[in-house]
Amino acid sequence: MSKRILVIEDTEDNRTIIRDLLTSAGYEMIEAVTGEEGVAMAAEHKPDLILMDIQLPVIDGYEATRRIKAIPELKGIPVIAVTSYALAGDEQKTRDAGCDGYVAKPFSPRQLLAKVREFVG
Amino acid sequence: MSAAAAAPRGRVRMRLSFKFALAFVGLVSLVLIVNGAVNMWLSYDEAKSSAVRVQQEKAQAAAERIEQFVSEIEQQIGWTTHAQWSAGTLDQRRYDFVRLLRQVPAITELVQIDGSGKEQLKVSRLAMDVVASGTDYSNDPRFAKAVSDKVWFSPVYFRKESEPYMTISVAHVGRNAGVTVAEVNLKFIWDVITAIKIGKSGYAYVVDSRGRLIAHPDISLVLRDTDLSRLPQVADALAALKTHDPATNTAATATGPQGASVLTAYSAIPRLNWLVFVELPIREAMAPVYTSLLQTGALLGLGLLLAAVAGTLLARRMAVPIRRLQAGADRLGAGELDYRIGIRTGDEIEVLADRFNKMAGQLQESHSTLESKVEARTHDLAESLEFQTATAEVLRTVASSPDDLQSVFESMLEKATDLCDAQFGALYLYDGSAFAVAAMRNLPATYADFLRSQSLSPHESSAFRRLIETKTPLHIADTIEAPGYKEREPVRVAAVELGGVRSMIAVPLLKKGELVGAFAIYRQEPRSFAENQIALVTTFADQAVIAIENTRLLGELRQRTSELARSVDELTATGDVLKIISRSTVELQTVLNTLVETAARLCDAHTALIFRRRGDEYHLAALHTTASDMESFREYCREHPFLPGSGSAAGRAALAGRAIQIPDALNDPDYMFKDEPWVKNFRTLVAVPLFRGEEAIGVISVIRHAVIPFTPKQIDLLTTFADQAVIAMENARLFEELRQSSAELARSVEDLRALSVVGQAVTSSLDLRVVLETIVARAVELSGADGGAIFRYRRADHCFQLWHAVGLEAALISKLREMAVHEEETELGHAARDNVPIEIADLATAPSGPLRRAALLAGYKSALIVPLVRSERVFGALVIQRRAAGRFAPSTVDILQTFASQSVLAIQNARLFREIEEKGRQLEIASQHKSQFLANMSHELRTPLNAILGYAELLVDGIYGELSEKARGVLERVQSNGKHLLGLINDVLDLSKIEAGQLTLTIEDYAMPAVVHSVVSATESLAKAKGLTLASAVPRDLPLARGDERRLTQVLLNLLGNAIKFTDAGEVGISVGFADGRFDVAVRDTGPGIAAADQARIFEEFQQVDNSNTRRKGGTGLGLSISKKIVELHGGTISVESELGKGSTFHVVIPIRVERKEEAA
Repeated sequence: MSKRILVIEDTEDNRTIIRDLLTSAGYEMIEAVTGEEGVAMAAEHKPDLILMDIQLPVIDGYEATRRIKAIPELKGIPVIAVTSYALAGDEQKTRDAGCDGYVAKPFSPRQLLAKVREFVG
Repeated sequence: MSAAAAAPRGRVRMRLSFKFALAFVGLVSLVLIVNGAVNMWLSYDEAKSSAVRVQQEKAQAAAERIEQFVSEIEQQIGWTTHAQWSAGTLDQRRYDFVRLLRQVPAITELVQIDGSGKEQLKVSRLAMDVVASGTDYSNDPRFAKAVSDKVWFSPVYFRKESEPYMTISVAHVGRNAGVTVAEVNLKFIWDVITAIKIGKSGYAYVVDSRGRLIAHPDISLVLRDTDLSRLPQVADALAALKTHDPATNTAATATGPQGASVLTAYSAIPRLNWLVFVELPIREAMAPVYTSLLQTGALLGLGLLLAAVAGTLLARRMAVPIRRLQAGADRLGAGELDYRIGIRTGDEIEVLADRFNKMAGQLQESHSTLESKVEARTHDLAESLEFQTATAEVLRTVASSPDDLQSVFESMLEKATDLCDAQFGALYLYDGSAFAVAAMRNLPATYADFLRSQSLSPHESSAFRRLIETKTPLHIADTIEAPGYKEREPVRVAAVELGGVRSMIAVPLLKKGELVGAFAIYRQEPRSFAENQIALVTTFADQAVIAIENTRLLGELRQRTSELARSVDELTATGDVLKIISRSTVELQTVLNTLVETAARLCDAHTALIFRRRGDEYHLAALHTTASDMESFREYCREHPFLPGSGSAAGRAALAGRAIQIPDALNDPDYMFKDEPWVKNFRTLVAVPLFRGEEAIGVISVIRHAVIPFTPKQIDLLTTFADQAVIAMENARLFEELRQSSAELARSVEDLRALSVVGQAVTSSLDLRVVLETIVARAVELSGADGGAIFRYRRADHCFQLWHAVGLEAALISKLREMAVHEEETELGHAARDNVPIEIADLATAPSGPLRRAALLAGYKSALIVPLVRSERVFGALVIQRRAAGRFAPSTVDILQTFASQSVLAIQNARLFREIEEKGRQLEIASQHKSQFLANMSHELRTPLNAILGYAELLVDGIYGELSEKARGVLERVQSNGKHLLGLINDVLDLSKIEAGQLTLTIEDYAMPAVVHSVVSATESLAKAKGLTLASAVPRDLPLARGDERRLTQVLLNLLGNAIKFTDAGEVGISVGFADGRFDVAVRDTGPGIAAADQARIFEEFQQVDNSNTRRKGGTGLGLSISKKIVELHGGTISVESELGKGSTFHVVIPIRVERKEEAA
């Protein structure tokens, strides 16, 4: 059974790139465009890993992560922040929100894949 | 013998013979005593040491014998201890014991004890033998000590209170083999001790280890069990025995057991711990020494006696002739000059006696001639003494009655006639033409009358003529025979016929060679006067001249004195005036009043005046007059100043510039005031001008109401007063000037202080209100005004409006605040237009305006307006107001103008400051906008770039299927350009953050080697691709560092990346050093190098060495600039060493531990 990864990302191109990357690597990918949708999808599908964009409409990635981590049965799902907030301190902010990993945009697909494999093998 | 003769003998304190004897005795006894003392000391020491040595030897011998005795007994007992002996039968053993007792008489009892301490056998001389009694000895020291020590010697004990015994126990050979105990009689030791003989009363004794006496010639001491451990020599010896210190085994003096002083020596018996002492009483030991001492003493006594006798004899022999010489000298001294000393010793004393005799002869001779001389001289002396006495008396008279010349003359005549045996005498004075009798003595009445009745002309052949001609004493032995009488010279005839004169002396009175008179004495018999009598009269004549002179001088002195007294009066008065002058520098009038009053008094004038020049006119300054109506006269003088001219004394003095006297005003043709009511009484006037340097400043004048001319002295005095008046005026003027300049100075200081306060306010406070209030307050305070204000000029409507006010009433202020006065309506506007201060001395009389009306209503009378203008721009006006009308001091205007410029400055400062603040605020906002914009841009640019780079990588990785080689190449170009673009975006973002002060360091611990390692691994492939060697040198012992690891990595990455980028061949390297708490990271390359001119520039933004090169090499040109800022944020420096064509080395020097988080670039 292949691992299921939830990608929360509002940019179409980025979703496509991640989808192409993950499916070619043998993962199952489900997608959400907004933070709220992401939280709902996580609750519904309980994925093995979540890739979380931070700058999202309505509620941002920090908030979405906090909400996911607040739900007891989702708490164990690792969340990797994939963000263009690449300034000093930004990584720490994602960690504070509850993220388990951090990949800065623009990301190299190879690096992202390596990071994903760290969490789901 | 007389007292005179005894005196020198009394001075003999010590006889010569005694001295000689003493010297002999002293010398001899010194030698004998020294010799005796040295001998004594040596022989005493020797005697003592030899005695001790003998004692030592004796003690040694006795000790050896005693030890030998004990050892023998021990040996004898010894054979009973062998194992085979114990194995024998009891009888056999008993037999052996009996045999032993027989062989060794000292043993009195033997006991055998078996191994368990039970008595087996006891054989005794004194009791029955006992066999196997079984008595238990196991706890007895005789058994126990012997078993443990093999041999045991008991302490000495006494049996039957008469003999000393000791027990010797010897253990048998073998384990638990038993002990043989022997009781030993020690009488033998007594024999040894008693046998020791030293001298007559020397003795020996033995003590045991506790100091108890064991053996002594006096048995009773031993039997009394005497304890000698307290004797010092025994105690010392016991101590030495304990410490086994043989060095202390020497002899010394000590106290013996019987209490006598002894020499003692001892020897130890180590086996028994006994001590053998040998002692000899010191008295006996030292007997030979004492004998020798006695001999020496006797020898010394004999020597002294002999020396004394010899000394006395020798001295006496020598002293006898000396004493005879002394006696002779005494007699000669007493006056027996014909005595001769008879000494025939043939030595120096005889020579001395001869000299004495010779001297006596000479003395005798001169003595006799002297006597006759004295006699003659005494006679002479008596006579001259008489003359001298007379002269002295005359002198005394001359001195005592200087103003009574007559009595002096008479006294002289009396003495002269008495001493010269003359009947009478006379003294004549000569006035240059004739003689007149001045004094007479005993003159016959008729002759006296004759002399008194006429003046005595020096007739031809008269004595007077002789005196005039020769000026020498004249002696006439017989008047009848001498010339004169025969020629019937009238005076001579009168002398002979009226006075009966037959002989005479006449001596001239000469004063400085001039004849002033004659001194004459007369006899009524023809008899010559003696030479000394003539001399005496001559002396008297000289005295008379002196007396005459004295009297004259006295008269002059009296006159001078009275003149002096007057001068002193004048001086005192002048002094008083001077005192007043110096005391009251300010009160010139007082001084001048004193001057005129004093001048009038001292010059005996009725009136005195001082005039002072004012322009050409002379005005009354001070007046003193004895006239009754002084006040109206003063009034008159005030109203009539005079001009220099001949019409008045003062006018003339002023004109002439010197003192002028008008002796009689009424008879003076030019005097103009003959009819003036106040002046017509003036008769004699003197005026003296007052000069300060060349300039006439006044006149002092004194006036008498009668024609009595002033003496030159009085005029001089007046001149002095004139000088004093000048001094007083000068003083007053200088004082006034000083006071004025002091006041000015004080004022300037005050101004300066105010200015400094204002200046401080202007520079220290940018709050315009504070500054302007300070200025107005100071202006008001300094000018002594009642209030002040600053008005602001509004350019928009050309109106002035109140800005700040100080000292004005609240009502006035609120009224002024409501007003906006147009510049044409107020002096403020005029002052500003012309840029000049305007002074309104009386507000009531000035043209009306709204501001002025308000001020007038509030009670202000005067105002000063100073415009605030700078560079032709009007800011407003500074106004001060007073409740009193009147002009303002020029200095106030000046200082207010200064304040005005300060105010303008302050206003400008404040406005500039405001503008700067505003600009700053705007800039800050703009900067924030920019930063925000850049941050947004960065994010917005990243998003599409993510897609570009992401797709490209997926394509290259073949996610979308295999690509052609060409397509792959193109995609790689896309990737590389995308990455460059990303770098650009990052750099721009960093820089904008640095500029906005937003770049902050995340300070954490880091390891420099890890940083270098990551930088090297990131660039390794680049270097490899260009075929460059990449070297890194990092010491192993680098300390743990603290700083922003990510940023430092960025810096080094940039530097190493650049090095690789710009180097085409050779090597690049990175190395780390550290010293003084700093890392020095060096990045070097073998690239083209950087020209010196460019080295500073490369750290600036958007700068690269060669733009074309940059385009070729890529890069934003921001890397070094960002690196520099990051390094500086760490408190470090970045620098470059380079030379064109030889590569470059960049140095980053940063503190190893950056503790403080740097907030902003």
